[in-house]
Amino acid sequence: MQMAESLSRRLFLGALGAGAAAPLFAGISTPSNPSIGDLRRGILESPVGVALHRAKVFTRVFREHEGEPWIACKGLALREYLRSVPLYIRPEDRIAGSISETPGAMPVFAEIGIAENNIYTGENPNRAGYLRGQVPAEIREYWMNRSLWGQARTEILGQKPFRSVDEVPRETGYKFICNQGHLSPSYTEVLRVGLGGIIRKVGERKQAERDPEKLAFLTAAENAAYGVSEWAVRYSRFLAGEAANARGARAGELREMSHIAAKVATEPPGTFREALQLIWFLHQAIHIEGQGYSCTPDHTDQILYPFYAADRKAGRITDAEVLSLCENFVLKMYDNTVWGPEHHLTQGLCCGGSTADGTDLTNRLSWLFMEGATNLGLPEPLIWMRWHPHIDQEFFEFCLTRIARSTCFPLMWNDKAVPAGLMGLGVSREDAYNYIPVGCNELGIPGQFYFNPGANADYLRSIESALTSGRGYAGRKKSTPLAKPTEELNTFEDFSAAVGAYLRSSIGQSYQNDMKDLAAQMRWGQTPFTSCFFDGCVEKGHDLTQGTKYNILSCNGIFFANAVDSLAAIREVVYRKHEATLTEVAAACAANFKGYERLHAKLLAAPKHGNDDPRLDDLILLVERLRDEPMKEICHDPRDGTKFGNTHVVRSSAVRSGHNTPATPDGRLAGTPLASSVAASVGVERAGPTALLNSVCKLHGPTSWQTGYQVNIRFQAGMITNKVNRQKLRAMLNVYFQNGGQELQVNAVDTDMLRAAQKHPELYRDLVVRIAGFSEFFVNLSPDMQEDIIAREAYI
Amino acid sequence: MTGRVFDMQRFSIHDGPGIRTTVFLKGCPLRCAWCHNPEGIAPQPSLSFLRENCIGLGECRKVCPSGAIVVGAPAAAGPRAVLDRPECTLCGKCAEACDAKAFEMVGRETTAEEVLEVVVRDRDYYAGSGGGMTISGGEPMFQPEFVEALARAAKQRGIHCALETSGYAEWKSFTPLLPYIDLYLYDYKETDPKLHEVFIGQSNEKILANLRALHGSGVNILLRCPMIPEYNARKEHLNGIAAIVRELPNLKGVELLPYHRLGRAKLNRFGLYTRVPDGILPPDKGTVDGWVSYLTSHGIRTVNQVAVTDAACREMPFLCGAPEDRAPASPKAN
Repeated sequence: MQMAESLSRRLFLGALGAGAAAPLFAGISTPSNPSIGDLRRGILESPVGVALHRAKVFTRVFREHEGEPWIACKGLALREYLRSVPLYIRPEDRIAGSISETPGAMPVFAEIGIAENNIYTGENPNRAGYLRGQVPAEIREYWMNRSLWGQARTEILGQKPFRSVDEVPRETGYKFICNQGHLSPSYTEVLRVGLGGIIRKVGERKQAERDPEKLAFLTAAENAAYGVSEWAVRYSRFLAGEAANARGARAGELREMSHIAAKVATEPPGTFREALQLIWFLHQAIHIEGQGYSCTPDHTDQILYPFYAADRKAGRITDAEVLSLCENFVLKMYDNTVWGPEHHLTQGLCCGGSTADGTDLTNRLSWLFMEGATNLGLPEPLIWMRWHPHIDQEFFEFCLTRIARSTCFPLMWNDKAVPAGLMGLGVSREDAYNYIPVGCNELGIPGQFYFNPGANADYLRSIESALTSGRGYAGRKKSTPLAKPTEELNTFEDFSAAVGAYLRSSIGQSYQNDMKDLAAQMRWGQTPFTSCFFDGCVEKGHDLTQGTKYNILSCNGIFFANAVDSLAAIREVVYRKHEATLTEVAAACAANFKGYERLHAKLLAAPKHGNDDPRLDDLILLVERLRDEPMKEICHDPRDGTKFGNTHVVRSSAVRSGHNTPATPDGRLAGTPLASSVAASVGVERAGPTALLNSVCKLHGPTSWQTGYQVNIRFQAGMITNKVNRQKLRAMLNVYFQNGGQELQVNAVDTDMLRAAQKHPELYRDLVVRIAGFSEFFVNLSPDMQEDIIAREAYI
Repeated sequence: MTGRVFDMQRFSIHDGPGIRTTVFLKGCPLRCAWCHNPEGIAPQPSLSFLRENCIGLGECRKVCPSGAIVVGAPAAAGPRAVLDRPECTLCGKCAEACDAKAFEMVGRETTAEEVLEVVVRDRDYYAGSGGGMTISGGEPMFQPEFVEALARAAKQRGIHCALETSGYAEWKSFTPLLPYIDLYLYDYKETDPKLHEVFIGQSNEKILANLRALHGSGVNILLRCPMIPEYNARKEHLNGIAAIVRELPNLKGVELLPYHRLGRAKLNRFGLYTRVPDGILPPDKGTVDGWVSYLTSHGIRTVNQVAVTDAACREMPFLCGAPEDRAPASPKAN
């Protein structure tokens, strides 16, 4: 505990960021007014810690109601927590509602998997285990076999129950540390009918229901919704009390906040402030209920716009006040979900986009949210914009100017590409255009589709198996070979067929495993309150894990670029030039190329994805086909048979996974990072950004990447801050999106990053600098040349 | 018809309007003290040796007919190759044998069609940004027929073509180009004729004559002036720039190119050296801004990356890309 108290979140600013894509986050903070600046400072200086009220209440309620349906306990526990949690408000806060009883402290999600999961107890060097051992043994013991993970282990996977907490491993998959993540609830209805309206709707639906399971869900939803309403009322009283003790303008602010909290506890909001407060209460309640990992609160700029417009018309609010509230909202997202590197819940905020008929949805609030969110110099929430052919180019230009100060925000999605993919999976045109990014960069639709991985395609391991007759580089695996032995793979077609056979098996196995996880989520991962904001859940009387409007699961294909490059290298070296055999390539990978330097050089010299090289076009198609064919055959949603989408989400795992991945036939050394983007493997991109983007556009987005891929591109900050350069950048991005690129993240390489690269060259091997006619890896330049670039950075 | 190309740079944003692909042609009759593409000077292919890439396989030594390569000795060299350039006949056999890409031949013989095959890959970006292809060097006019072939091939494909030239060529080489080159990026390196010979190695007479003749033929010309501290970065030269711009009123503007040392990263690879002493540093932002405002105060339109303003973009949209004007107006909220 002493250690935790000595850590403030300010320390983490440099280490956070959008995962591996932005190893150093050095955003510039320019809040719109001093009060927001003070709020930001207070939040960053809060010590990190653990808040135990949630764990205690949930443990007590679940214990008292043992034997009752799990979901009933969940609803009751949530209500009891919201009734009893001690309230607080930060001195400059204009929005009420916090995730725990202690400023800056994270609650403990005991029933989901606390004490067993890596979020709290891991030994990642960035986390240093600083929160370990803070949950009382009694609570950990109660849940070790009763939590989502505990039950899944014993009831579904058939493993033996743990006998003591010491047996519990420190790490587990993320699906066992939260209920449903990667989601965006729909708030359109609640803004119209108020929380009271939702409670009435659940109550009426309950009256007509006799089925005990459905009744259990509806009762839980009702309890949870009442709990949230009661929580708002408690805030109202609390704020009135604070107002009585406050002086001057703050007393007036607190009184107004108190009135707003009282009103939105049941009634529909009538003003921008009321609507924003209601959304915050809901967003926060969803986190408290199910952790809400990777949650984006609907399209805030769209759903709040009518309130904003009415207030502006009536002269009730100024744009400066709205901007300040937007900043406040974003700061609260950070305050209540970020506790350090990999201790954050990946919140998101999305601006702009178009309707299905192509109308630009960008409004004044899109500008204000974009400005406010990027004013604060924070790595979270993630800020997105949606590009489309009729986007207001002034807004796009504005978004690009914000990248320089926020390092990488906004991240961009393309309306010309994403809806087409979703429509291919059965989503209606109108709904598809309502898509929203959730999490690192996964996709969802507010209230209609949440992202959930249901299988994965391990390309690299399949290539390894094909190269070793299924035994693996280390020769340890004893599985029955699924394809011809390696020495009989006489043509590249033979080889790719073998890769395909192993890939099929890997997809099938992971699908089986993930469906067990899903079954566990459906029984012990329910979130009745969150479900109230997903289509059909209240109507059908079931939790969102039982199904919502669209049940699209995703197959995660990982390290695509390494796979394409590995196949290219094998085709070139083994089958075209006959310079080595498959067995030699396998031996070289097993030896991490020690003693195989010449072969290593040949593998490295083979064409690499990301350079617009036509020699790879057929291999991109091949990898997509080897994955898509079995995926379409094997994977379908067990609830309604919906086809899977394919995705590529590795923002935070490319570096970590690289540590445990042996050398690969593309020449990548063991332990080094894998490709974090579908654009190129680390350090192989040599032909510049247009070539990189053209390479990405060769992927078949709408048919093979329906639930999203990810592309990172780096520019020196001068590319963005200089107006002429920025216009060229914008022109390039317009072309990329027009040509079907799905997603893009532009990272601005600023002076801080260049300095960091001088200090830690090993972390920045792929940092390319482009100056006047040629590009070079920054770390390969001599120190005086590096200084020239840093100096020039200021004004190119 | 073939020519020698030593590099192609995609997403080139400093060599003309919009997003461009710059094609660097080999060979140059001038010897500018500050040359930042020295590998472009020799007309024949050059041997690039990047010692960091060498992994000591020794294949190069086996194939070298003139014994110019030693591997692993002297002891200080470690397991890497050492190239004795005076012995090298530039046969290129080492480059063919080198898997590690430590040896590479730069400046291969190629056709205009081959070059354009790469250039067209970024056609959408040219269209979207008001960009195109820039022919540069070396001195491209060292291979005038190849420049013509490239420019004609670009024209046939509807790709904007700029020529970056020192102007040091016979005027009769320029005339066939006139229908194909959309923009000339014309170097103006030194005003004083004597200093011109010292810095550049040739008189500026021919260069000025060609500039006047090109101007007279009504083509688009942007004057590009490298500004090198201790060499030509003097008030007299700035006055000279102002004078020539006043004399030739249809010039599209002046772009100053502040000295940088980044080309030095390439010198070792080619066994070359620079004549600019190490002590000469790139100018800082204040100095560059000072040059720009000096010219501006003399009524000269500068289109410098450094000093470009909203007004300049409005006046010369072709320099700023600005292709999005085509996008239909979006419904603006209140």
